[in-house]
Amino acid sequence: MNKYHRMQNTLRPSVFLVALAIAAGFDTEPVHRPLRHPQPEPRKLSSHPTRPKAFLLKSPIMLSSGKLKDMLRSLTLMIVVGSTLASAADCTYRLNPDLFRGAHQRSVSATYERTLQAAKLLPGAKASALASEAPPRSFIDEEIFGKLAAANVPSASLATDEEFLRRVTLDLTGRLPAPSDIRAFLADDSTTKRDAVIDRLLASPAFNDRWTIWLGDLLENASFPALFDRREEGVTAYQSYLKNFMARGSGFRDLAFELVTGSGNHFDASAGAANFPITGKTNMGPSQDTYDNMLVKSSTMFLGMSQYDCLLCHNGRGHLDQVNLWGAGKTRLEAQRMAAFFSRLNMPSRNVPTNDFYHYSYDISDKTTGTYDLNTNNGNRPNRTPVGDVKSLTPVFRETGDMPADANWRKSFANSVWRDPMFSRNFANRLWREMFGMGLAEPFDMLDPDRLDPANPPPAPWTLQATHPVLLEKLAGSFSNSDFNLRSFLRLLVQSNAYQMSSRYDGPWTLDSVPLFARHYPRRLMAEEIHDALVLATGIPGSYRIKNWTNPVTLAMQLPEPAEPRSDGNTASFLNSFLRGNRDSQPRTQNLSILQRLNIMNDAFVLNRLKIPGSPVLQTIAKMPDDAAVVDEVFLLFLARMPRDAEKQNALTYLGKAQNTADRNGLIEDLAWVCVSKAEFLFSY
Amino acid sequence: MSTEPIANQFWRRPHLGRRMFFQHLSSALGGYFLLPSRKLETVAQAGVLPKATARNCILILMSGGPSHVDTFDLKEGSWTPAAFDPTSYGGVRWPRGLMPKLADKLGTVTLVRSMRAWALVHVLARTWVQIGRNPAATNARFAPHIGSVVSQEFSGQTLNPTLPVFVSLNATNGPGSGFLPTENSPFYLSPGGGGMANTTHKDGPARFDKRYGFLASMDDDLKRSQELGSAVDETFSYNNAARRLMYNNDVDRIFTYDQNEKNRYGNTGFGNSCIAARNMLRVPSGVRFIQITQGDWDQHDNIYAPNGGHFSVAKTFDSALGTLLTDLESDGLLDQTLVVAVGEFGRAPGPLGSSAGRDHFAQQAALVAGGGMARGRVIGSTDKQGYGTLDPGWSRDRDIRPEDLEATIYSALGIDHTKRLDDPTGRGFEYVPFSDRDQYGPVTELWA
Repeated sequence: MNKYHRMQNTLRPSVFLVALAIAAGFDTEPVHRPLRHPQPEPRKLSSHPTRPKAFLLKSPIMLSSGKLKDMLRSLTLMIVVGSTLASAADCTYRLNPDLFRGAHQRSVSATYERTLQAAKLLPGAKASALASEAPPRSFIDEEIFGKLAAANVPSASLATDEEFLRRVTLDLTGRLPAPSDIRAFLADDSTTKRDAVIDRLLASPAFNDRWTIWLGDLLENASFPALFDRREEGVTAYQSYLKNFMARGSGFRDLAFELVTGSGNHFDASAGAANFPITGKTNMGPSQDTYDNMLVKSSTMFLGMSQYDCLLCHNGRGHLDQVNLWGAGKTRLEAQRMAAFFSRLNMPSRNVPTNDFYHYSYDISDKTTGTYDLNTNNGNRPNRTPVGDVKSLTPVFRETGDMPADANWRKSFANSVWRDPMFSRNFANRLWREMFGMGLAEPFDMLDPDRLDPANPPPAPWTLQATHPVLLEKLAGSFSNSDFNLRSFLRLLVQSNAYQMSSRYDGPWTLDSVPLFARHYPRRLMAEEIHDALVLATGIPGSYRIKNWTNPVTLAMQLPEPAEPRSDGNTASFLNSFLRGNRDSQPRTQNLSILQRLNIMNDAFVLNRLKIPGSPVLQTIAKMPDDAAVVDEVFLLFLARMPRDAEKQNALTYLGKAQNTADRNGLIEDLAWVCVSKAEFLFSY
Repeated sequence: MSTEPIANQFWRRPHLGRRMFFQHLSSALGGYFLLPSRKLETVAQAGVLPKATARNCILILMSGGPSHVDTFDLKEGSWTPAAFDPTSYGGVRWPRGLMPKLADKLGTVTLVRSMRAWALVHVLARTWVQIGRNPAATNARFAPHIGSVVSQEFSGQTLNPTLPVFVSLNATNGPGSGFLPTENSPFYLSPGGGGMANTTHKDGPARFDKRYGFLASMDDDLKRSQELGSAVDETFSYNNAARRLMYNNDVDRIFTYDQNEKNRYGNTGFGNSCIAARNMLRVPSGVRFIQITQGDWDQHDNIYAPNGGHFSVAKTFDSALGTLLTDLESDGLLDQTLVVAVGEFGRAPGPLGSSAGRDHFAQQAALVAGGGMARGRVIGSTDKQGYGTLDPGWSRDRDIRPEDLEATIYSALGIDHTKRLDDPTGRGFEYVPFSDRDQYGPVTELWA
């Protein structure tokens, strides 16, 4: 009690009362029935048949250390009054292993269907040579076209210049190419013009914006995730760190190192990387929950291995046997030794008055002592109890057995994580997925280290996880050889003929062709891309105030997180309808909806931008005397392509009905509206 | 596109034929509701018999954490403002001055007083109430909102629905469909009486028709294209489905109402949402689960400020909910509509804290009405000041938890709360967690 009294000096009395009342009034619920399983227990596979007691929460208030102070103060007054443990009883893939093993097949199906959907919307010029007949640019083409040839499946043709320019500009910068860029590109007869435009895009500020968003998604930079508060100040500091990282052009090794070792106050722009260590903060339960969660976040983001989430509750055996060869052989203890790298993290909240900027912020540093203790009887995972004589754990890195050389355990993890072969495999696969529409290995966040090396294939009945195992290994090698450099790696990808294939496909198209990457797979545009396409085409910027920022943001790709713009609810809901996710529980998705159609056709955000008096760009176009020139320009502006003959005739007939200038302006606005409302506007193809 | 788990998108494909697939696509909105949702595989259920006394549910989320001792579990003391005008209704003490309309409804509603939250941080506890489980649990990453589960169960039951099954009013975000198909996502609306957003064209209906015709003609050659085949038509059904919602009488009947109506409900965003909720149930719109988020109940400072703080938010609540209950009753809709009002937690009982407010507290209380439940009851009782439960007042003889409330809602709607669906990890997703151990269940006493 003395410890309590000391700690609660600065607290409101009522907070203390709350804590006491809760401690006193906490109930331990009876388990009404013993565990039961839907099917008989396979012999010798351990699961949790006799562990009901482990699920009871006996001591809800953590009496240990300064944790309570930390908790009580970070507060909007949060105190954990108990929690329900993860349903480890059912954490088994035995129920339905096919479901998981079918993950790759489902991604194939989704890609197949999206491709068909887009194909119907696209005009596409009849293309020239088959992509497989062009001279290979790199090992990518050798692998992709080699496998197609072996399967006797023809490739698509190479994309036209229009198709290529629109796609690569969207994929690298999240923007549509400007009409002047398109005209210049089409007029250029240099044979290296595609490489040149790739280099120009990689060096552009728009590239930094787009990949800052990508990193923000990956790293879950959100102000109010369910488990802790990063708050807007933390989000903007993190975003400015990431944007700066993009501008520096450093490799992902540096990124991982700086993030894992991030220290200081996470509200400070100069300490933006300190936002990474709080990502696993679990404001409930014992500190081991936070160490565990930090490992889950780190391994998922950097290694593509979310299976630590399973292993930190129970051994792999009896659970992962049918879905993850590597995980099946790992124990909870091994996973906890890996989590121990985070057990010296010190993240107290700043003790300042409520009106202070740093109120609600955390100061991240390392303790020089401390271990991962096996001593919990509450929290979000099954109790941690001594194993034999082992009561506390020190860090051991997976596979290598690396142990910290000095007292700074996070630094040791940071030095090991980028050397892990899964690091480059993970990013190679994620970035491939981003550019090609589907991962080489799926699920991309549950890679199986024991099923990726083609030189060392898994025992039957296991198969290699990737559709193109050699390609994935070579890509990973290339990524690490280039110092984990994002631009170099993306350049390699988008220069390939495989990337530059058309999304049109003239032969028969079946599900079996999908894993072969015989054509380019279209994707739907991100909410931010749609927003910025309309802003840039019309020259009417957004104006969104972000907390503590001096200048308003004009482009969605520059917003710090999907919860923005908080200052403009209408634009926020417009963006939300394109399913940009929340960087926490809701991922971005590519689903279509009628709401999206309603918004595109009718929302003020769109319609206000399609009025000639308000749009400097449309004003210029409206002054062109030649209707044919107007039609071309409007198509280039919104669809980044020239109109087809039929479209042009149709549009000319429509504009031809104009009686006077005002009339004609109205018809030009209609044409702009039609271009935006065409379904292809929402695709990258 | 970056972090989308494609694995979540299209379950069990390619079980859907191409035709079915495009029908499915074309019905997608937050109104994918034009077609039945895909069935997910049920891997287990205990086979309990749900009560099935309600057709609809309105969940009012009292955001911020309402002070239970100043609302549904009134505790009087030296701190109690005279303006509360505490009054006895049978055995129930009620702040009549604070919530006069609901005072008249006490014979209709049931108060639940033995309820307790698991956590005291806003987002966490608020999520907990809406997904009915611990958001920090491993499988909660993809846990759907209770309304999304209801949507998964009920999609396709209404012929030609105007709206999706699950509508979320007066909010713009929160838990979504989780691992369930996206068509079960909450359909967020903030109605103001002037019609549904973007179902009219700012430049006028005539201009819209002209543009829409131009758009259709622009793709004529694609539609005729031999090589693309007849499937092209299906891709245009999207626009047509959206078009059907525009200038639509049913939509207008729900979302258009006048100032008099707004005044009856208190002329607030919450009140306006209650009107829309009522209207959705009046016309056969397809809506079955409506969440209405209300309030600024997080009163840490000056909670009893005259016309401010608690008074203000309670007035908003009372004006709208009181009128809603009256209207639903006179429409004959209350018996088939379960209304639940609950926050994420309660507030510290007893004398006020140093800044004349109340901080977060685990004990809380809820209001339940309609949906075939008993009327005019109180479930459970608390100690003198409202720190904890004295008598749980229900069969499980412990505090009522958000999971129990979730089970209650499912049971009332006729959904087996023990059902377990396949999920992305293959561990099986139970509608109510720990159902295999019967850890939580419906508060059956509400029906008694």
